[in-house]
Amino acid sequence: MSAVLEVSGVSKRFGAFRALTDVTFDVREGETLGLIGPNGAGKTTLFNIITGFLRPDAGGLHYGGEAIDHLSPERRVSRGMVRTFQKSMVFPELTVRENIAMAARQRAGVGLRWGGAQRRLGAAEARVHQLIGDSGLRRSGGERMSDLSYGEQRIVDLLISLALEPRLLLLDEPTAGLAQEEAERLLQIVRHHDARTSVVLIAHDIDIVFGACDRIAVLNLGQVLCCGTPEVVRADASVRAAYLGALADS
Amino acid sequence: MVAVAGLSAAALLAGEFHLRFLAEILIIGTAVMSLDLLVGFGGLVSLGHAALFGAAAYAAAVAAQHLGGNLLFILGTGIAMGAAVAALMGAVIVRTSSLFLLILTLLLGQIVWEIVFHWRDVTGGADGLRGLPPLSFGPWVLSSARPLFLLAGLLALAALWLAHSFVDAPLGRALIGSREQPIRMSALGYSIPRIRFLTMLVAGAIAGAAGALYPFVNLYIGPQSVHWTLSATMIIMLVIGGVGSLWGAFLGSAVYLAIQTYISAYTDRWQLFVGLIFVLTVLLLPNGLAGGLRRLASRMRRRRAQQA
Repeated sequence: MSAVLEVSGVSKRFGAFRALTDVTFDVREGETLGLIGPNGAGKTTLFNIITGFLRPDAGGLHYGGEAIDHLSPERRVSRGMVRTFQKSMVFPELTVRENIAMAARQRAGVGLRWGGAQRRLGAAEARVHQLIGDSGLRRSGGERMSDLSYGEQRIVDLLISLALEPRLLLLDEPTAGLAQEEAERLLQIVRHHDARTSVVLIAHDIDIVFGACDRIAVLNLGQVLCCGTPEVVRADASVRAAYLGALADS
Repeated sequence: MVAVAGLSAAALLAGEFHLRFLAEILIIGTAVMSLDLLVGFGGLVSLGHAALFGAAAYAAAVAAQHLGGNLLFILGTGIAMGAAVAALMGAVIVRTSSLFLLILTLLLGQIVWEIVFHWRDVTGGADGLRGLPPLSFGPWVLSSARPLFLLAGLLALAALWLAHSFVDAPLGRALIGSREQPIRMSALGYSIPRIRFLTMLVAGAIAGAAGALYPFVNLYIGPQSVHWTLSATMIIMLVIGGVGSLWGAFLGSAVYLAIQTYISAYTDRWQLFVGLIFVLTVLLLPNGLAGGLRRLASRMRRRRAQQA
């Protein structure tokens, strides 16, 4: 399997605080890579660097074999790199349909149109309907986001990202605050969406990560402790000491 | 429909003075409505909107003095000037928000005022420009109050339609998105500066069209029309009328200009009344008169449905 994303030697400081030190790993095509580690390990900082919201102090990124360090977040999105955020970032004043359409139109290249392009707009609308239908959300799409439950908002938040048809999807704690059943449903939507999409999943729920991921990278104090299959990670002594501890034995 | 009926009734019934007064409300209201695109939909509170409106008004007045008052030419001049000043302002402000945006638009607007105030040869300085030729459209001279009022009415309706189509279009939706979740919009691949710049152009063009007609209502244009105090007045009108409603802009400018015109006949302290109404609006009708009317209408509909 070829690597979609290669992170090599990435470091980042905030003043005297070393948020990331020499982080190296790759994400392969079609795989789900779990990214775990204690709070403050640098997981979200890493997402911010991968997606271009922050610039690394050292190291570089290759996406699809090409260096992308000079690209703005918007340009990275246009190449299929899509992220979600730790807290739900939907548009509360707009309807469910309009929320997802915001992404679908951008994907169809008509995000900033004023008039014309009816065919492409129609196709984007159809895509929104399909996403809502496939998600199992029992909603017509006409509801305002602020009227939805938290779990439903997180699912729409995910659908917004899926409407961009990502090649690499970076999910930052998408299951935080969700019941087990809701979290599983959400991950099911991700996996059923497109088998070619590579996913990087940050989550604190160890069961979810070990159950849903092909490989897992463990971050601690800004460094990669270990990266490998769930079995390898579970058996790794440094990971057990730093993070998993007794959890791994249960 | 209601708006068209109201405009027709006013055109038939009102006298010369009132028609000019109503024309002024419609023209200023159109400019305030274009400000609503920025404030209500983009969350971009600008204190420089009068610069777009006033610069267009001066451009139209100067153009008319030298080349005559052909309506389409004058409108085109105003729209081009409004959009050009908006483009300059937009290029500077697209990456700012909140307090910095407020101060930058204030400063840029005052630069326009400085130019107008000191470029006496062209703008007439503090005296402004008088003795403008009347507007004309083909063989018709639009100098009396009725055609000017109808023209202002047509402008207001066209601008309202245009603004609604903008807000409903993907670009307008993206503007709302950039107000609600700017970071998510970037993560969806939208360029926030581009959204803001395009919105500034649209708002500038509409304000410019309104500015183009403004000097011809009283055949005079003065530096007050580019001053930041008019920008602040526009914000007050917008809040009274209802931020984010578009049509409320016309209500707000009607209330403000009515106080200015009628109460100032009795007292110099008419602005006290404006202040009072502003405070009452903020306290009792946070969505302005338009929001209040909408609430009233839905309550009446509900009551009628219960009775039926």
